[in-house]
Amino acid sequence: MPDVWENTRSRWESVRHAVDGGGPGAAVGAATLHGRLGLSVNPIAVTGEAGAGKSVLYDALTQAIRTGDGDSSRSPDIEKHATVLRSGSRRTRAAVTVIPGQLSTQRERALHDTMRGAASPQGIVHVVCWGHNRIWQRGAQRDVHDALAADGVVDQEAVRDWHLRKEAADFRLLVDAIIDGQLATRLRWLVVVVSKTDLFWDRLDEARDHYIPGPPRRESPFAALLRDLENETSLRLSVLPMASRLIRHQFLPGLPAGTSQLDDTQIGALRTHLGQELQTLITQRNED
Amino acid sequence: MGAIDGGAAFLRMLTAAERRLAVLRALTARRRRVRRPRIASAALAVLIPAVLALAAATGDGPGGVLLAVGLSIAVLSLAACAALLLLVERPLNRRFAVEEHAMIEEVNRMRELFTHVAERDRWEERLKGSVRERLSRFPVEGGSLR
Repeated sequence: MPDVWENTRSRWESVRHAVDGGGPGAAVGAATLHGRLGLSVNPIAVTGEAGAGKSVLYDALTQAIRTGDGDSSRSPDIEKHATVLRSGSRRTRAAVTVIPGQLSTQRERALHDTMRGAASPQGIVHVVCWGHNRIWQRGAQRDVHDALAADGVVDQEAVRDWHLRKEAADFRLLVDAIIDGQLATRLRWLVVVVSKTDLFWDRLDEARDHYIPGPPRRESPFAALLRDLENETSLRLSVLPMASRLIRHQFLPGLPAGTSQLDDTQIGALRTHLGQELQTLITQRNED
Repeated sequence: MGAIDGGAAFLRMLTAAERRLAVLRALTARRRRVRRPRIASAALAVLIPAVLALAAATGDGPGGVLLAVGLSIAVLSLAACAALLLLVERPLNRRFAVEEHAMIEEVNRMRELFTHVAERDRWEERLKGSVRERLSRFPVEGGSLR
């Protein structure tokens, strides 16, 4: 029987193939989330570090934004949405809560309301971006620059590594809390969504190997945590590439800016695959 | 704003931010206390002339003494309302905005640097947990303490 991570890699590669080969777009038979008020059936939490693109991902899935829309902004508060996930003729209701990434009163409130005690989502969409997080404040940008300069070189790789360490620390908290039964006690599945892949599509293999567990000695801290989660729980796990929209990214002021390497159609294909994966996970849970 | 060049500086800034948070909470309470008499005096300044006008329109109207007393109270109420607004509430609001902006700036810097500082200074899990908990007491952006 194939290893769960081999299957995860195969799924990742099939998405990449569909995108590179001009695969199915988001228009026909696509799985998307549509905003609609109604009975909340499948609670889903969207987690991840600040600046990873959680809110933009949700907006992309609900098609509240198009790929070419303007700049995003930092979300100051908890975002809760009642939505209907559609795939062809199938519909599934979901109550989606985007948990703020910053350590804050708002994040604590969101965690308390959705994941602690009796409250639990059935699924978690954990958003990461291979170190392409956005730093919103100039003061914090300067601090990161100064800290990196004190340690050596300030370049794109150093900033990316900075964010990857933060991302792993954040994911460790989530994984430990789930394994210890402190959070999300009725959780059934967790999807790691690697967002902003349009910015590093030419290095997608590196991102894949960073997030999907592989040979134990070469695993990143993030992949090791995901492996722990698989070993210690019965969750269905998945890792998928995604890009919510065409963006330009600058790691820090003064460093070169990166632009999207994909087009609208390719981003549409990524959305479709993620939407279908979510639909499958929710539906399988309901059929269990 | 000082540089956060190590764990000690980080913890000092966190303590300073907590002091700011306490100041902001005290300012919020003070603003509430000032707002109540200001609203009451504004209500008096509007209601008294309205009642006098209504009385005048529906009957013989109030007597000269009553009219003078009523209008005097209305004018005094208006003056009190303006004084509270301009001399107390607005300065409080300005101070609140300055303190809140400074606190959010500092805390956002600490949120960004926390993992780096904790790793570099090899903080124990207990200290990391405590700092995480303390940072979680601050809002993401301004407005939520008002």
